[in-house]
Order: sequence, then C-alpha cells, then structure tokens
Amino acid sequence: MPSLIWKEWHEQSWKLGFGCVVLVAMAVIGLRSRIIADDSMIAWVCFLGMVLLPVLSASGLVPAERSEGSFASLLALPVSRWRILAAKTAMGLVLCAGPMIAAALGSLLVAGGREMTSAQMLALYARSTASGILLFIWMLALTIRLPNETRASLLGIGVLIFWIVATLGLAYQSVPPLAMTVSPLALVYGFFNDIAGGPPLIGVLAAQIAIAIVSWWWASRQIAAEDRS
Amino acid sequence: MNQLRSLAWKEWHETRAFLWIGLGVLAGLPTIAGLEAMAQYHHQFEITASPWVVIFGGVLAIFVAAGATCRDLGDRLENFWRSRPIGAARLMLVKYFVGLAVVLIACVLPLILEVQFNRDKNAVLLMIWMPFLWLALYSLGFLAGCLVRSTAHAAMLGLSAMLLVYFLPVVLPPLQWMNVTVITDDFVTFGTWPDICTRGHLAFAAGMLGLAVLAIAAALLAVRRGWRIESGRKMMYGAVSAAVLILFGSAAFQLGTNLPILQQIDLPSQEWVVRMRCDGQRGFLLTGLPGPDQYVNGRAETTVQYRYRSVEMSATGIKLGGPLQAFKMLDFGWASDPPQAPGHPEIAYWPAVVNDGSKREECRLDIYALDSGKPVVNSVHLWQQSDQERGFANAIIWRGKLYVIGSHAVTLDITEPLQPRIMSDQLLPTENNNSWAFDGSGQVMLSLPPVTGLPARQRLEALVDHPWWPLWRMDGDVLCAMPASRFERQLLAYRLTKLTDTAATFQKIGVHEPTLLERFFGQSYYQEMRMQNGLVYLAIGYQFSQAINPSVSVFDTRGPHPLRMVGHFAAPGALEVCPLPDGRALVGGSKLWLVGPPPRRGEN
Repeated sequence: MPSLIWKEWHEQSWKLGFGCVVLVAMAVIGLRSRIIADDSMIAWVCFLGMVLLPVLSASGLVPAERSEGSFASLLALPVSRWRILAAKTAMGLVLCAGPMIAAALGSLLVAGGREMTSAQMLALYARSTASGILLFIWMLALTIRLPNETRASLLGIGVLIFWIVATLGLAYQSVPPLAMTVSPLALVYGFFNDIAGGPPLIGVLAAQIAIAIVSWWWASRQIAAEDRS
Repeated sequence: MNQLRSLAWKEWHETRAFLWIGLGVLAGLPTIAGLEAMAQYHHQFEITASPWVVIFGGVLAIFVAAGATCRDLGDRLENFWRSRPIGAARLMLVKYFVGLAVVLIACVLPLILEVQFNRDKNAVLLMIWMPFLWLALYSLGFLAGCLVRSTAHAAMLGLSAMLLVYFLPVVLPPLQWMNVTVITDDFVTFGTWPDICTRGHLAFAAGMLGLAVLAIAAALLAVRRGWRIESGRKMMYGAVSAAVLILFGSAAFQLGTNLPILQQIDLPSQEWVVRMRCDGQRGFLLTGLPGPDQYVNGRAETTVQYRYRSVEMSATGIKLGGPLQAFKMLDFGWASDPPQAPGHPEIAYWPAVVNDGSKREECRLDIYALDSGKPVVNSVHLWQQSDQERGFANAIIWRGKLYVIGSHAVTLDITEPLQPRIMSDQLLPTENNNSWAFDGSGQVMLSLPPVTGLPARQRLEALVDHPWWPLWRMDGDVLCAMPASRFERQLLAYRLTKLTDTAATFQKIGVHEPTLLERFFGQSYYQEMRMQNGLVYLAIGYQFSQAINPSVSVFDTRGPHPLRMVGHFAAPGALEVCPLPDGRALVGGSKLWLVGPPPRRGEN
C-alpha cells in the first residue's frame, strides 16, 4: 500500500502544487487588494476549488493512466484491486482538500476577522472542501472505465452541471427539504448567500457519506469486473 | 515568382475559412445588431463593430497563426516540405503574410464599415493603430506554433501570450507605453474626427512592431534550426494558470480598494445602510433590519424595520445618534435626492404626483421627518393636473424658499420647516420632455422652465435632480449622466457650455464604459451616483442581492481624460455613498466607513 501511495504521489504531486498555487494566489491577491468584499472573494475561491479540483483529480487518476497504457500493468501487479483504488482515492482526496486547506490558511492570515469572522471563513472552506470531495467520489465512480483524460474531464463537467441544476431543482419550495440531502452541493447551497432553511447538516452528512461509500464500492466493483474480463 | 505564387495560392485556400468566419463574427453579427436596432429604435442604420473587433480580433490572430504554422509542421508534412526545393524561411514567410492579410482584412473591414455608417468616428483610431496589436499577437501565435507544433497547444500558449500583452503593461508601470488602452480608451467628441497621431500612439505602434519583429525572427530561427518545445499537460496547465493569475493580478491592481479607511463603525448584526446624507457636519443615516415574515396573498415576504440615526462629523470622526424607529421613504424615486430643510437634515420634502385611478392627478408636497417615527408628517396640496402631463415634479430650495416645478411652479415659504406655506402658484407652458436628453449625443440642450423669481442656474439644478431613471448629477459645470437603463453600463460626462434664461447647452466631454475586467468583477448595475469636488462616486451593485459585488468606484471629471477611474472601495453591502466637502466620503453597507480621498493620478 505505501508503494502504491508513493507512486500516486510521485505522479500527481505537481497537480497538488498547481492547485495550491492557483487557489492561494487568488485568495491572497483578491483579499489583499480587496478587489471585492471578503465574503464574495472567499465564495469565489471556494467555488473555483469546488468545481475545478474534483474534475482535475478524477480525470487524472484512472483515465489518464489508461490513455498512457500503464493501467493494465498496474492491474497485473500482485496487489488487490481495492487497494489500487484506495491509493488513488486517497491521492484524489489530498488533491481536492490540500489546495482548499492552503487557501483557507492564506485567507485567515490575510483577512481573518476583518469582514468575516475566522469561524465563518473556516466553515465556508470546510463545507466547500467536503462538497468538492463528494463530487470527486461521484466523478471517480463514473469515469473509472473511460479510456482517456479528455473524456473523463468532459464527463466530470457533465456531472458537475447535473448536480448544479439538480440542486436548484431540489431547492424548489414544492420539493420536500429532505430530498436535498442527496445532492453533494447541499452542504454549500444557501451558505454562500445566507439563504436560510434546507435540511439539517447531520442529515446531509449521513446521506452523503452513505452515497459516497456506495459510489466507491461500485467503482471498486467496476475495476474488479475489468480484471476478470 | 511562380513558386511564391503557388505557395500563396495554397496558403490562401487553406486559410480563407478563417476570413469568412472572422468576417461573419466581426462584421456579420454587428450588422444584424444594427439592423435590429434600426428596426426597434432609430431610423438610421449604424454598425457597432469596434467592441467585437477589440475583443475578438486578437483571438482570431492567434487562431490563424496557430493553424497556419502547425498545419505544415507536423512530422510527415515537415519532412515533405524539407524534401522540396523551397527554403524554410520562404515557406514560413509566405504563410506569415497570407495569414496576416486574412487577420487584417477580417478586422479592419468591419471598422471601415463602422466609420462609413456611424456618426461616431472613434473607429478611425482603432483602424489605424489596432493593426499593430494584431500584428504583434499574430507573430506571437506564429512563434508559439513554430515552437510547439501542436495546434491546440500553440493556441493555448498564444492566448496566454495575448493576456500578457494586454495586461502586463497595466501591472508594470515601465511598460505603460505599450498599454492598449492608449488606443481603445481614447475618447473623441461625438461627430468629430479624433486626433489620429499622438506620441502615445506612435510609442504603442513602435512597441508592437518591435514585438512582432522579434517574434517572427525567433519563429524563423526555430524552424530553420529545428527547435522544438515538447508541450504536455504540465506546460499547458502552467501557461494557462499563469496567464489567468496575471490577469487576476492586473484586475487587483486596477480595481483593488485604494480609498483608505479612516474610521469604521460597526452596525448591529444584519443591519445595513439604506440611505445616508451628510453635508460635512450633520446628516442622517437610515438603516434597514430584516423583520418577521409577513404573509401577502399566501406568500411569505420579508419585512424590513427601518431605523434613523443622526450623524455628526467632527475632527475626530463620526458620531452616531441613538437609533429611532423610522420609515423608509418608499415613495421616493430611485434616483431622487429630495431637498432637506436648511439646518434640519432629518426633514425632507418630496413632491409626489398621485393618480387616484381617474384621469386627474394630484401633485402634493409630502414632508418627511425621519426621526418622528411616522411615514409622512404633513402633506400640502399643490395642484391638480391631467394624467397626460408630466408624472413627476422637481424641487429645489433657494434663499430659504422651496420651489416645486412640474406642470405648475409653486413657491413655498419654509420658515417653519414642517408647516410649509404656499406663496405663489404659476401655471407653466407645456414643456419639452427632457427625460431622455443625455443619451450619448455630443451636444444636448435642455429647455428651462420659466419660473418667476428663480435664476436660470437654480432652474437647471432643479431640472437635473431627476427623480427616476435616467440618473443625472451636477457639480459645478460638469453634469454626469447614466443612460436610461442601468444595464447599459455607461457613464457620460457633459460640460455646461451655454446657459441662457430659456435653455442650457451641454457638450459631451467623456464617457466611461466598464472594461471587460470591471464587468467581470461585477460593475454591471449602478445603484447610486454622487458628485463632489470634481469626483463622481458611483455605487455599483444591487441592493436586494448579495450575489453581485457591491462597491464604490470614483471617477475624476477633471483633466484631459474626464471619467478616468481613480478610486475603488469594495466592502460588504457598500451601496450608499456620500462624499463630503473636505474630500473624505462616507460609505454605507453592513458597516459605516469613513474613507479618505482617492490617490491623485499624474495624468489626470
């Protein structure tokens, strides 16, 4: 397992650096110059991280390796398939969460307690990171059989658009509030613009963890099935 | 010669698709828009191609260059060309000039049409000087193509280079002479020909020409020596994100807050400033606080509780009075600045024209005492009119008297501010509707109402305080106006050139149209405009939505470039601004900020 993680780290660490540089630079430049109000700036950075990082991570883990032709060799190694997927998932989580954590620290240093309290700022980053991770699990599961990064990126963007539209639909008054718990964006919906209401946080977390486990299990089945064929 | 002709013929056949696409976008779409506008608003056909050409001309240049180079620089085709008795430099130069011709025709032809059809001659400047920019961008795209030899990667690199050419001169002062805004922001008076050759224009052209020569020399060398850069994911991610960060950095440089915060006063949680007035010593603050939901026709609507606070300015800063229950002046027009009783900033006069459903309307004067806890403390009936007459009246206080001007002119004694007394009532002749006068025309003439006893200047000032949109404000002889729609996003400056007893004549001196960057960062919805000391304070954003970035931008109306942005202040809910006579300003949002004057700029 450590060897698998080392391999993933070796291949993907540049993306972590790239994500950290872009998000931290945007947050720090924007907050230092006060180009827009702090809450708007942080919402922008969170939104960017939440939509960009899952697509970059999910498309770069399995589909990119398939297009390079090394995935078959990886599957041929004497390692159980779920371990391969677990190593890739762990790296994906780091890619999604690392830049957001770095941006949160940068934001706190530059503008903590200025217009927003530090707790508000951290809450926004934490919820956006969690939503990004949940989107990543969705994208990982759906793109795991795709042959190249381009297709995976397009499908990832499709997943993103689907959940944005679906979340808006689920927020409609006639839909029961509990239905919103299925959306990975439920954690941030309304939080950016102080819209009250929505399902309770505990309910959302419980539903989302369950969905993430099922998605991941389904992805591991996909790899296992591929191996057998 | 035959060889050159054959190569040129081949290139033309391969590149001409870009010409048709370019002309379709840069000339075709503006023509359709012109025809649509002609059918809807005007009688004269006008084509506005310059915004399209300015934005998309560079993109077209990059695409043509990347396509021209990478088409024949793939492995097999390159070997084929090397086996022909044609020099690499000759082949590449033919490609270069044919592609360049396509770019220039596609970009310049729409501008020629614009100059031909429009009364506005600003496109002449673009027609003369922008080709130098396109030449530089095309050459950079050509160089990118010769180095990476992959169309998609070359286009991405070229676009990154384009962002640098546009925005590096904004960020780095030593490169200011290469700033493209020298050309795009050079405003000329409507209907006249621009100053087509200045030192700034020549310096810009020289810079672009130098860049182009360097790029094409490097491209030829790269092909001759077989230099090649292996482009991959890392490089592309890096190039694009670096360019985006430079773009963001330049936006921060241009639009970052530069009004120093001198004092900040916290308001209670969830309370925000709705309206604010201060003459430099005394004033008031009206704030809103979300109240309980109220059900209207089965739908929940959030109510707002209003609070009044007095404002006192001193050398040490702002002193706020205790909160009192208040009512928002809901009947006030968006744009109105109702006159306040002398010495009583809390007392405001609002001439309301009320239609009771019949064909008659009543004009009455509503007196508001904002600290009284009542919506209207007193009303004075002024006149009756038919619903065909002007639906609003203007008011001005001069020498202790209040003048209300609409279809009548009524003079009131306001010695007792809450009990105004009518002194005279004069029927006015039917006026020309001035409401849409400042629509961007070069010269504007406003007819002044013949009010007995009120000088022409005061009648003009009364007329300028237009209660609804479009919004006009005047400071000295300079009038700033926003077009009828707040979504048109233009700010216009006019100078009063002639004032007679019957009319005021204005000449347009400046226009500000938000740049792409400014629009991107939310400068799309004007909320409020104030003028003081030659500066225009523009509150931008939408009061009922937090999604659109609220901020205050400051423009200088003086100097050779009126309406150049000199200040910016972004803060939560910052939608109310009140400039003070000493150069400072009050900005209201979720807090109250006292800010200093904008830093002076050398060129203005």
